[in-house]
Amino acid sequence: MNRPLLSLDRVSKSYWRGRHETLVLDEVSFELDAGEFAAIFGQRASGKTTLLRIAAGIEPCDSGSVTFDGEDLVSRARRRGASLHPRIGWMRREGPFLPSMEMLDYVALPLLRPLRHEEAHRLATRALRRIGADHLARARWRELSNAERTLVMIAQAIVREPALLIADDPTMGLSTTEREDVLSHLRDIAEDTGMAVLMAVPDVPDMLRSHTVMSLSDGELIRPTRRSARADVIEFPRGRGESA
Amino acid sequence: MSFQNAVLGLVIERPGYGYELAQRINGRVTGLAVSGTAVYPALVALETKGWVRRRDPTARTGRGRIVFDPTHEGREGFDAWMDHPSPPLRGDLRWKITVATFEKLPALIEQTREEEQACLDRIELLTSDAGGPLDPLAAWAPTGRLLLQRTDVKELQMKIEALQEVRATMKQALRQRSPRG
Repeated sequence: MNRPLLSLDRVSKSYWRGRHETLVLDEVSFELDAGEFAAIFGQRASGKTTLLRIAAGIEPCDSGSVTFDGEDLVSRARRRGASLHPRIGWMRREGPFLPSMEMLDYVALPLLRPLRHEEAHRLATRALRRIGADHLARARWRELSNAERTLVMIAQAIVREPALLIADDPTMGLSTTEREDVLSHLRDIAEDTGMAVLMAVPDVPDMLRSHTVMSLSDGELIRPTRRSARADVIEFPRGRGESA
Repeated sequence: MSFQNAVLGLVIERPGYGYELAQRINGRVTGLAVSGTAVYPALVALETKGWVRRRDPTARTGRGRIVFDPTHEGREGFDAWMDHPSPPLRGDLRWKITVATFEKLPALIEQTREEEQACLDRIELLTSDAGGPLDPLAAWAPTGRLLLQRTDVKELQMKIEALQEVRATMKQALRQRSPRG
């Protein structure tokens, strides 16, 4: 049996504001397989971003375990400090420092230290091409629409060819058509490359393209039943007016 | 069944007669206009099951009010309905919330989780065939299917959000009530 790529087991996290403790995550557990496109739905301040940051290793949890590709991220954070795992891609939201920077250079940024300039550019071109944005290579941030900026951010997040891509509300500020385009790209990335994609969104229709939808509220994560059991438990509502 | 059990819950709360029970239901569900005659079939069905009984067994028809009391079996049947999950997405939970008491909240909190999980299952089923982008200029049938799918998903989202609000309120009520015992 294959082990999951990412596994969170009874992860809890609280924040303190003065003397008041707010429980953000209450024994949250889920697993993610390679090539799976999973979405976490939650309303504002439901803890989605905290959950993604813990899954990425950026933020420590108070209790529970996070295992990525067989590595214990909680122990890793204890040894080396909380930081993004090199095999996890995190989709940023900010543009480049230098307004004059071309998008090819910006997408290549995470590679410039470990690789030679030419090789970094080659991989950045490939990442842009994968999401149909290679025509933006010579553009500058200010020249891009919100949808194009989103595609560039995705390209930068996958340029190191991570095993897991994490995106926090990747379709924020986009039109319905643009959302569909971005989500189609994310699904294609998962299905074509075997990269797992985990995203948080505030709107369920954004998840139409995802394989799995989970919901987070009041610190609790609720997951669908496993696919094998699903057909037995689903019953279509008898009448629209009856539902609670 | 769920409406019948809700009527039973009201009788357990306080014995009553058809019209009065209908008024109590209407007072709890905004936008509902249940008539006294609509409650009687439920009371008769409950009486047949032995879950309620007439206070005056000779009262059959006429203008006299027929007050119904719960039986021991009725109380047990009501508890079983409240404490155990009903088939998902059918609306039983709506009635359970309407006639709940504080003692029933832990069981109902669990049932909101199960109902939410059923919504997620349904979403997963709908999203397993996401189809292509909307293209109304092409054949209408696939466009209509996609629109219906999206409408269903949006309805499920609203239901999930409502369930989350119900659960948060119930948990808060229990937290605030527990220090006082």
